[in-house]
Amino acid sequence: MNKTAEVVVIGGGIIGCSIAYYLAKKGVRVVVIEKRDGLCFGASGANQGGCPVQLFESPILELVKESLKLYKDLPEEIGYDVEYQNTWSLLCSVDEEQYPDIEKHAQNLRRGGVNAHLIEGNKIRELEPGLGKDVIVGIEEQESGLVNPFKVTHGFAYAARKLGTEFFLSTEVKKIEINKGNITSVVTDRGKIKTIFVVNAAGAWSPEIGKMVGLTIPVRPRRGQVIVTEPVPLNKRWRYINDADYLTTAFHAEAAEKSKDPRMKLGVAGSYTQENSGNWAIGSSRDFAGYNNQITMQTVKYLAKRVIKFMPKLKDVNCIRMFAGLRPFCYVDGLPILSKVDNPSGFVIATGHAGEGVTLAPITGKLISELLTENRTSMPIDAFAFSRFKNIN
Amino acid sequence: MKIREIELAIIGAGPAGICAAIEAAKSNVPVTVIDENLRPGGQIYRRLTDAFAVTDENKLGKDYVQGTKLITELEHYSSKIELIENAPVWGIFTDKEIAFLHEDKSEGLKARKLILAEGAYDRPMPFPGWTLPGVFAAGGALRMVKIERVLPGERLLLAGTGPLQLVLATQLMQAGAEVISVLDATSSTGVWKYLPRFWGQWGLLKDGVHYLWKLRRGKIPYLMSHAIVEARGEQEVKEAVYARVDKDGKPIPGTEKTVEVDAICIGYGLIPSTRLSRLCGCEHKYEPCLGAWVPCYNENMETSLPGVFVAGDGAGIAGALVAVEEGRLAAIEACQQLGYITQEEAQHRSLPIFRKLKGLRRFESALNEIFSIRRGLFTRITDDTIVCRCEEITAGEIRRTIADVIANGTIDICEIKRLTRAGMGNCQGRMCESTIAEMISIETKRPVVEMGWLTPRPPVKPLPLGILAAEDTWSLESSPSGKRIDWGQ
Amino acid sequence: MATVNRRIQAGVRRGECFEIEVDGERILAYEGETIAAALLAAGKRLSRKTTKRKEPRGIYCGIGMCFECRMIVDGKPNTRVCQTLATPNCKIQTQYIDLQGRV
Repeated sequence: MNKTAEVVVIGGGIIGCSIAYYLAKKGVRVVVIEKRDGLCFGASGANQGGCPVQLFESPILELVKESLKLYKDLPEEIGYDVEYQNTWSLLCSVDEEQYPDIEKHAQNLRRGGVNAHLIEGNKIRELEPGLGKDVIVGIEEQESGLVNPFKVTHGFAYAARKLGTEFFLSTEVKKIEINKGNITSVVTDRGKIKTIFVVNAAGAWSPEIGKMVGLTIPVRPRRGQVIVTEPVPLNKRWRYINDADYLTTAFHAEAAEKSKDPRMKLGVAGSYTQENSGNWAIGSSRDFAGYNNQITMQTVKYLAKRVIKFMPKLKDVNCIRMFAGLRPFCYVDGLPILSKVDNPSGFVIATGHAGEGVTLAPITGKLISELLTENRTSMPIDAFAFSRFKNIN
Repeated sequence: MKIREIELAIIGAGPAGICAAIEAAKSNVPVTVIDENLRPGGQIYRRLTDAFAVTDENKLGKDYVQGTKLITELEHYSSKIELIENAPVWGIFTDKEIAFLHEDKSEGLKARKLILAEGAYDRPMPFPGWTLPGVFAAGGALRMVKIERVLPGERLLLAGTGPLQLVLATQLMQAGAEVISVLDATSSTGVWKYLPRFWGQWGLLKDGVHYLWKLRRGKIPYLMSHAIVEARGEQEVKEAVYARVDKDGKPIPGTEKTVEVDAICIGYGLIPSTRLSRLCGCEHKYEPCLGAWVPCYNENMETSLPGVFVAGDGAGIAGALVAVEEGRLAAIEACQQLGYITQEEAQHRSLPIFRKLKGLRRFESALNEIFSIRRGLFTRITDDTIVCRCEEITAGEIRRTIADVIANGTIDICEIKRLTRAGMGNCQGRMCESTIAEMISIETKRPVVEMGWLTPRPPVKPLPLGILAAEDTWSLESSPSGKRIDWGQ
Repeated sequence: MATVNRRIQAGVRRGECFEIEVDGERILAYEGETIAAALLAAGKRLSRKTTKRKEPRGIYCGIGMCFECRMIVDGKPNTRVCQTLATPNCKIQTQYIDLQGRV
């Protein structure tokens, strides 16, 4: 292989394919390189497809809202059904002491422009008999969504291909050649691609790519485990249910780790999504185990325990599958990295989505395409700049 | 709850598992056999329920009589063998830590050595109408007749490939059912080439002749180069359409015949059950004439994972006689590795087994080759035929998705699963994986081995959430499930 | 009571006999039989209708691998009848459940 491309995107996940599409839409000649034998082999293929507005705060919340707007129009735009649907979602608590936190979070959401309101436990059970007596209070809103991440990724790839993007799967990047601070080519195990722009969308493997250009990208794989059940009748109202503890385990990891509760130590906090077919995907967990993407006995036991607290009837339902994925987690502040770098020129980083990758895929693609073609973005992304990591490089 | 540690664990109490256990008991190795069924024997040697009194074993078939001998020997060593029945293994963690369901609890065992004797199951071969009630897998029908003593129908058509059908036909006939015909898609030309490999296996040959003769006597036509092409009916099967096939297994237009039936038994041979061996992370290789992945093992039945062995049909389809010998071999090696017997003794005991296996395996592999699945049989699958029974995915959907994915450059069976949901249902791909791999191979004109397999994940058997969550569920401190990390890092 | 009885008599003597209920109809079963065996003996083959396409399915593999034989047994849905023993007076229903939970 001996090619030239205007932009080389490294990574065939949901982020890489989204970026390819939005670039191709602007007429850019893109090549996507993916080391595995297909798309979605990283975290893109190991998540629950949830796009939760209710779990986020600024600066992510603003991006989330824009991204979901893009999702609504995406199927028509790319000519591919990504199975996006709006869904009533509930963030709820089984711990009396969390009541004030829930109230505060509802306020924050409303301030962020989300139409979220509080519901008491009894009303919750009236609307959704499947939720148990331990549920005390919750926040519901109808702006969150559920989507099929495989269809999103393949949809973006399909649309990008139609606009001239080339995909090279089973191809591994070996070297990025730089001359006088400018990128000149990407060397793979199947040949060289001459280019001046490289987008690092390699997710949990982005540090490896960063090293090739002399950068330390502060991302580490953060494993998440999920249990999938057999199909059961669809919930009446809420098919996306989150545990208030999620806010702690996801965003305040140190507090979770210090907890005496073994469940919190494993970062287990409920996040439940019910697919159209009726299967429940039961997450979520967080632990650091290098690149080990296998499930562990302890975590799945706590995942099962926790969901039964929220939905007791699920105790008789069979689990038919368990899987784990590796989120690219920025260990400095947990926020994504969407940014050019000073050196080498032409290197763009688009990773660090550790729990919002599926949600932010469309907006990430759009913003990175703007960054590359216009050198400015339609939304502020200073919070996600690489330059915030002052003492790392 | 601390996990119980044992010397030798055997998963599966079929012929391989039972003989492995007996061999271990002879060497005084404490051994635990975990089996998902209510009674031992696997599929071929399963005992009848205790509630039935056996009045004449010979009426239950030759295999039953053979099985009785084995079970009796097992019982003889019962003080040395722990047999845990009704205990499906749902996961294996870090290659020798076994999670299983038992009496509504999830328990665990940590073994120093592990023998996997998972057995095999009927290969699913879709054709229009195959999901109708009244269409049975041959193995399931045989089990009904032999163990439950119930006829699955009164007017049956048998269709498939291979010798298992003969056994089923004979049993059905003896039980008073009307077997219209036994269809075998295999062509009889060229079979003579294999005769040298049958040399020495007089017992097996005699069995084969015996079954054919019985069919003859019962005036049941045994039609080679014929295959079923459609099952028809509204709420259950009422008619079967069959046709002649060419040497590639492709139905020849214009040769169709329709018969009234109330049951159809499909027997296209067996596929090794390799969920656990894959989950552990053993290396596997693709066996083209079986059309299935089988674990790799050395002459002592040890897999690529030290201390993990395979034996029986779970290691490759070769029948009960091979299974018992492989079980013995695996156990002897395991006992020697555990230090209970010397290398000399192990060699002494293994040598006659090696000799026996040589001829048997030659015979069985010849059978596998003769009766291998012809590609042409897959042309029966119309776009409207259901391929993934659990999720109700048609061949048309799968074909469209294959075309979509190939455009990206490469294709892997996992991608088809993720995009169509085929393989995501209750059976986790057991009923559709082999078909989908063939379909991709046919569409892409690439060999099946390149399609990969569906990544196995726990639980390998359904596991109620409440049992997983229970306080006394054994759980390991953050130990990952067995499979080696599949990322070259 | 159903008049079809496809039990094979040769070689065995069955034990206790009792009744079970299938979609409101009473049929015979014997101690030690699986529900699948009792159903087939009575000529009954339909176990469920599928969720999406509402197609009829019945017992297929007989060894608990295919999950086609799922029925509602004593109120519990998704019970594989080829793996479940018949018990006196147990209630079995053909499983027709759609995604909304409507039976």
